[in-house]
Amino acid sequence: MTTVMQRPTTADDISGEFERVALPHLGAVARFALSLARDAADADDLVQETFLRAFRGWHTYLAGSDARRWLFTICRNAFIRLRQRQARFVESDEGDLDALPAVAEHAQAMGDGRIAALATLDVRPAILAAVDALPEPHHSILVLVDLEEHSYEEAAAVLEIPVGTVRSRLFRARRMVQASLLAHAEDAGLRPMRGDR
Amino acid sequence: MIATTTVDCEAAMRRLWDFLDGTLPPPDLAAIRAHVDECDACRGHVEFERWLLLAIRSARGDVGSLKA
Repeated sequence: MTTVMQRPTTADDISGEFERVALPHLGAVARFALSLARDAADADDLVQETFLRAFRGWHTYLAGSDARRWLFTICRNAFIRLRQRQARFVESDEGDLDALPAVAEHAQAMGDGRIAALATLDVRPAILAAVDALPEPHHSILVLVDLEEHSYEEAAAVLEIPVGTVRSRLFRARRMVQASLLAHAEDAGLRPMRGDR
Repeated sequence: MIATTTVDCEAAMRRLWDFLDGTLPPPDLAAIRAHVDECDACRGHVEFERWLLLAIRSARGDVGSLKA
């Protein structure tokens, strides 16, 4: 027997359900908005817009489904509209994943001491800076999968892109973070001089 | 899905992140694991990328502090 969940019909009941189901995700949405907007004031606007749209569209929310994911999708779409209005959002082509150059780059970093240097450094600040510096759309995908713990499929649903695009953007984003960390190791002065090798 | 039970370095490294993210089907996972176990170059690369992934994910609690 199929159970059909009854949805509230009065304004008070709708508000109550919204507060009970959607508002607990306010913190997660705020973090996601900040990671997208990278500006506290813009992020606040984005959170407000997200919950306003969510409340207006509450009748489209499927009772019992993943409310956090639903809110993230709204937030992401609101962010895209914001960026489109600001004419700053640019979609980039992905290209291939450059598997072998990545291996060669790693081998070079092993040989010149940058990998060993990273082990001696506090890399957390460098990682935060590298993530923050990622361009869109790579920043969003890394935040969703690696920081917010969404699966590839969930991230694809939030961003409304194919899973294959999630994969290629994510891998490229991680490579960008890797490149930033290796540059950090070099900047820290821990890379042996070429003449010393 | 990878058709054979053996893979070369390029095939293994093209699936590196799927391997580390645990999104590969079992036959592909086994094929790549077998290659990595036997190939010093790929194993070193995998170990570094695994460290990188853990380092990125360890920043999870600080994501809200990201600033422009």
